[in-house]
Amino acid sequence: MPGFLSKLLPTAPSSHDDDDNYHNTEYSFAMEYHGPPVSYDLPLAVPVDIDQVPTAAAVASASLLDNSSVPVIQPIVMGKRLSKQLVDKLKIGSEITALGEPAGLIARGSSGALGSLNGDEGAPKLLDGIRSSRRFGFSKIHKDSFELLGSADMLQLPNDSKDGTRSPGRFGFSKIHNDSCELLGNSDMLQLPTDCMDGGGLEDYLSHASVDSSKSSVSSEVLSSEDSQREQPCHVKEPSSVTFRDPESVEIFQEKSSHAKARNINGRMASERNVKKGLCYRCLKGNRFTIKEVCIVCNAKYCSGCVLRAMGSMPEGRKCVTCIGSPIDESRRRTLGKCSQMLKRLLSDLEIELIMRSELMCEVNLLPYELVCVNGKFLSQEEMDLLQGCPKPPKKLKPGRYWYDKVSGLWGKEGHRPCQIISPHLNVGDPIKRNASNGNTKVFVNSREITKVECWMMHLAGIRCVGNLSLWLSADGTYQEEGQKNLIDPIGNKAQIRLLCAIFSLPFPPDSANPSGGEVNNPVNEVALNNLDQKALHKLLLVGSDRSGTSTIFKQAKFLYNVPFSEDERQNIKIMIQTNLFCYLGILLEGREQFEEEILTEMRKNQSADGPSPSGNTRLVCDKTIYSIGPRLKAFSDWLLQVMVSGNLEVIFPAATREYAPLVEELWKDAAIQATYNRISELKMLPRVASYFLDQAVEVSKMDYEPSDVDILYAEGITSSNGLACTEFSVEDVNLDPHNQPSTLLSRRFELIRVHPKNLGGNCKWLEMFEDVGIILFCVSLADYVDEFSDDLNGFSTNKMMESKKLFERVATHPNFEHKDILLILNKFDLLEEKIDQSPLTKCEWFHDFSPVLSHNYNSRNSVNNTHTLAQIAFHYIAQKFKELFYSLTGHKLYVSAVTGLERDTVGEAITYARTILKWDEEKKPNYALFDSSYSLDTTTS
Amino acid sequence: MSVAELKERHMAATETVNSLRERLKQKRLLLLDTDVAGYARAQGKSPVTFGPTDLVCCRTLQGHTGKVYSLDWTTEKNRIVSASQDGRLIVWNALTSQKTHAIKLPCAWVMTCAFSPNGLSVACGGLDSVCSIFNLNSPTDKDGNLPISKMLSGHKGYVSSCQYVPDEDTHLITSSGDQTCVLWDISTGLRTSVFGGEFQSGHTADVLSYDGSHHYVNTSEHIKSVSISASNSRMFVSGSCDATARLWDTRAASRAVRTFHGHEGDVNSVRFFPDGNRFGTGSDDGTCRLFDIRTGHQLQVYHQQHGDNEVPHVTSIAFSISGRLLFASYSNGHCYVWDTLLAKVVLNLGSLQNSHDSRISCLGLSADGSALCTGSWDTNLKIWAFGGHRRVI
Repeated sequence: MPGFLSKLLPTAPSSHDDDDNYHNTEYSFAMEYHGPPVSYDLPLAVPVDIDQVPTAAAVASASLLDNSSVPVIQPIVMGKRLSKQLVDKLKIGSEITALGEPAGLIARGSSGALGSLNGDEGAPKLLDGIRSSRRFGFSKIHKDSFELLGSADMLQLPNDSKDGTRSPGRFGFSKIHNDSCELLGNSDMLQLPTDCMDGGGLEDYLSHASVDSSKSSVSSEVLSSEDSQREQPCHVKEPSSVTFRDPESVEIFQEKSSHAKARNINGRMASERNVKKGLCYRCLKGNRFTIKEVCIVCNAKYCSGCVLRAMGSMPEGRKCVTCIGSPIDESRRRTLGKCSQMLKRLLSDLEIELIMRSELMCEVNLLPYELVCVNGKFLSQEEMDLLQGCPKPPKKLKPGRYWYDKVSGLWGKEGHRPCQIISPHLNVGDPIKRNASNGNTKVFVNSREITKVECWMMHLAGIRCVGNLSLWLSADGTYQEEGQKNLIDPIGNKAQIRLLCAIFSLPFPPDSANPSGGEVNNPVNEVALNNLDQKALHKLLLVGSDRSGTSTIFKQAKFLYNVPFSEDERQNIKIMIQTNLFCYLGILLEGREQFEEEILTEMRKNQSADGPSPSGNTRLVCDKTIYSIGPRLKAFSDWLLQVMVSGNLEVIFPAATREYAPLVEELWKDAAIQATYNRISELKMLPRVASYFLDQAVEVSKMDYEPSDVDILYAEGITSSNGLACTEFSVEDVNLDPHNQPSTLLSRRFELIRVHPKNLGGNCKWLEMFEDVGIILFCVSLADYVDEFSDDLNGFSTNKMMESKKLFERVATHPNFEHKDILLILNKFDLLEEKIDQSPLTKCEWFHDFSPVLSHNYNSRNSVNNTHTLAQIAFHYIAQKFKELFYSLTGHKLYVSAVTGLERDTVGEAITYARTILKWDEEKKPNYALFDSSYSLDTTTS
Repeated sequence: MSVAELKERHMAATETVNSLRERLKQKRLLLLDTDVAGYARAQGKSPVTFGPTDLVCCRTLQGHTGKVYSLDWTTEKNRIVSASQDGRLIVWNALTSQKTHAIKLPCAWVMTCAFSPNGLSVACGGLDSVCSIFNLNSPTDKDGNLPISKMLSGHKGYVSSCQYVPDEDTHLITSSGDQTCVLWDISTGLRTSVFGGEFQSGHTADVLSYDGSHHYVNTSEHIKSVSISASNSRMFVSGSCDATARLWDTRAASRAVRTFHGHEGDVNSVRFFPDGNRFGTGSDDGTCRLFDIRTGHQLQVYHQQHGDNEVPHVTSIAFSISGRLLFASYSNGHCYVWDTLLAKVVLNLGSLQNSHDSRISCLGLSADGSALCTGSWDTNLKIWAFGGHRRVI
């Protein structure tokens, strides 16, 4: 296309840039006349040089676009006479922005509608004229620039009207050369002047640019681009200077683009805004004595009128909106959680509390772990969490090098005497070095050469310290000479020593009575503990169609990993069991009526076939079948069925359970009911566990009934509302990876979430809520192939296996689970073994081509000669069917596991399998699962 | 009577019902000689014009770490409660854009939240099938968490939506995935009445089985949303996955006052029109519709043609204070401002500068109508206000 166009255009449009051919050629609109000479003047069509179209410059690249921040009004110094100044810092996403608007809009919007705190102050700052002219002038140009450059960014526009001859409404636009844009895109040369702290630097530099009006006043120095210097001046009538620069944004950009660099260690140090000391960075008012709040990242100071605007909703504490997500300035670490009186005046206590809490707790503000070095080894995230999460963490931890005596818990700066005793035996850092505290006493305590002060201390404590002495000091303060058995008295008991320790500022072992006082409410500690919990939390989503046994698996998992059932849960299950008892009975009674009726009609038919006979007599005989019950029970039965039909079962029960318990038992023991129960295969709704509970009806119905573990396991469901259930458990992963570093934590935490399919909504809409799960356990009951699932209203009946298949398809193809692993749990293998003999697998249409090849001496139950049983073959066949289905849907591998819900071991195996799959995943993409996204920068490079 | 016979009769009855419904539909179509837009055009109305600066984002509420699913304003003060997938409810001060409460929920899968009329408590519900009430003034426990002051349990499916009955702090209506809506008495924690469900004429799966086009495969009949009339707090509408909306009277729980057909997909959002005689719906079929509760007619369809085949779902809707504007957010990230009279899109919030980076999942207008709050999957909430000298409409 460009080549073709350049042929069409004999005079090459000037200064094509190879990287921007597309735009340039689009803008050439005429060909030069090459015909025979004519007498009149030829109209000349001058090709438009894109480089000369005045544009607002865009800085940096699209990589910034994901840094979501709202436009902020950033103050800059303006002329002294016209002290109305404005810097608009715009962040342009995909939208085209009219420069100059946000300030006005925000001011207007807030003052109009919400009655903002600052609305009255903010609006008058902008003269209406200025505002409108600005908006008008900029928006067009800006659009152009956007089109041209295709990438847009933060623009900062300081308008310097120092000498007052220029009206603030006039703006010149300088363009940015494509080359310079390119330069921006990939160079690290964008070191911005950092010396314009107090305004002088930038102003000087700006005035220099504006004096030289023949030059473009683009901040070419800033861009350090020769090309932009060479550009012709733009069509600015009035000398004015416009600088497009934004130190911060560029720095962010650098951070993001150069993944090779470590995390910006010191945070973004002093903000490079040209603000005089004592002024508010936003409104440029005030003096040194007005109270201001300081951004903990860039040290920008804001007065009470501006702080809320500049800092927004402070999701990470007191940071400018643009600084959100950046690590804090380490020198301000000690001010974390302590805000100024001014902020306290502005906001309510509740608000302050939450801001300070998030300031202390949020992850970006935590001490960067890679800056803390213990015994010569820089820490990892886990070690850091361990260190800060321990009962007695080091106080006022700062980046630096420390030594840590694991045996005694002594803690100090490298090359210095101990300063604190923290929790001992933490698996943090390397073993301690001999010269850790730079001692020269030849006395060794836990293989660290102690310092002079310590040595004196030991003298005073009555311990002989001469020559090459090696001592062992344990955490409770007892000394032991190396190679000897006798314990030396704990020095901690002597009050005198305690005093001396305080004088020499040496740490002192704590009273044993008060081992860990005062540490409870330390939020950093809390975060670290939280991190320890959360870091390794893997989520397993357990889902399956109705009655596929997900709840049994869930309960088994709880038993397996010793997660106790809470009092609430037990109460819930108790109520469920008691209610279900009557449901089971109801189903049985219904069945009984049906069977009785069937037999009666049968008998009547036989009778009428037998011919006329004295009707009275026969009726008497006929009415008694094996399904008949006595009148008293009959009355109860009728009443119960009535209640069930009306749907009020839950209203009456389980409150009335106890009253009816004897009746229930009597009914259950009645021969008629037993006869009915024997035909359980015809009672589709009746679960197998019914007899288990009916057998102990009286027991179960008692008020003080406490469900045993078996009862809980057998009970249907987990909660009466069929809501979501989740449980957490941790597993020591020692066996899975023997080569794992011994120093890191081995225990991994898992959360098993069980969802009822009904809860997922039509088309599994709510699956989107589970996008962060690691693996999906999809549960299918193997026995389902025989069960017809009747779609009650239209009389359609679907095979339950097909129903499961449909759900499986929906889960597997859900867009949020595109790359998720699925472990198919084929449950109720025991039932399959039972049923496969009675009804063939081909009963389900999906399995129509199941034709097992069986050995001659086939025995379905025990395979004597190493052949598989029919059930096993069926299992493999079904698994294969699902695998094929999954592959055709997603192109991925499906993991399958056979489980018998009531056998704990099989459930355990399946969950272990799921954990192994997760482990494989982690090994495949280590940056994904192990590290939080905010730390992935470092891990890719290290 | 044998089962087979019963089945036969049931089939016949279903058939009759469906044919009657079809006739009703035809009749309605005959009667429907115009819609709002047609009439307004005939009257020479001109659409509302919106410059890109007339509605501007003036606050960004940052603080959630997960997708925002729901929000609600207080009636008198400028406070907002929002529910997010990070398992927290946050109560915001819309003026200062600060958080006043951050409530960690026992079940992280929250779908809806609501502010009580007196502004003293908030309610939320989600996949745990329970509607939890938090009293904002109750003391926090030692971890800084607000304890649940009441749990309304009884639903058999997720709680998709909850709303307080206007001016009654003790009554709340929830809708659920179990096909029912429930009116709760918060002080006792018990159900006052249950609307719909298996035994009543609630939302049922059969509703669309007569639909010849079979455009929509009904798999469930989960109720997605409720809206209570502001003018008559005894009336409320529910929108359901069976593509219908139903009008209920809280005094007569046994059956719906009226059922509104027309949508071809799940009804995700229902909102009463400010005058209380109409209500709007937003659906998976990509349209918003306006229904009249007195006639039962559909008044207007708000549908924007899209080039591609993918029809964006309407995720949430809200009316402006006068009803002239309908804000509707779509699953593709757009958020249209409809002129309800002329059925024209006058503004797309999603394409404005500094709009959300991701889909807008919930919308809400402040009580005085001066500000719109949007919650998005990009974890932020934004407050939009009418800019300049523009009158609040």
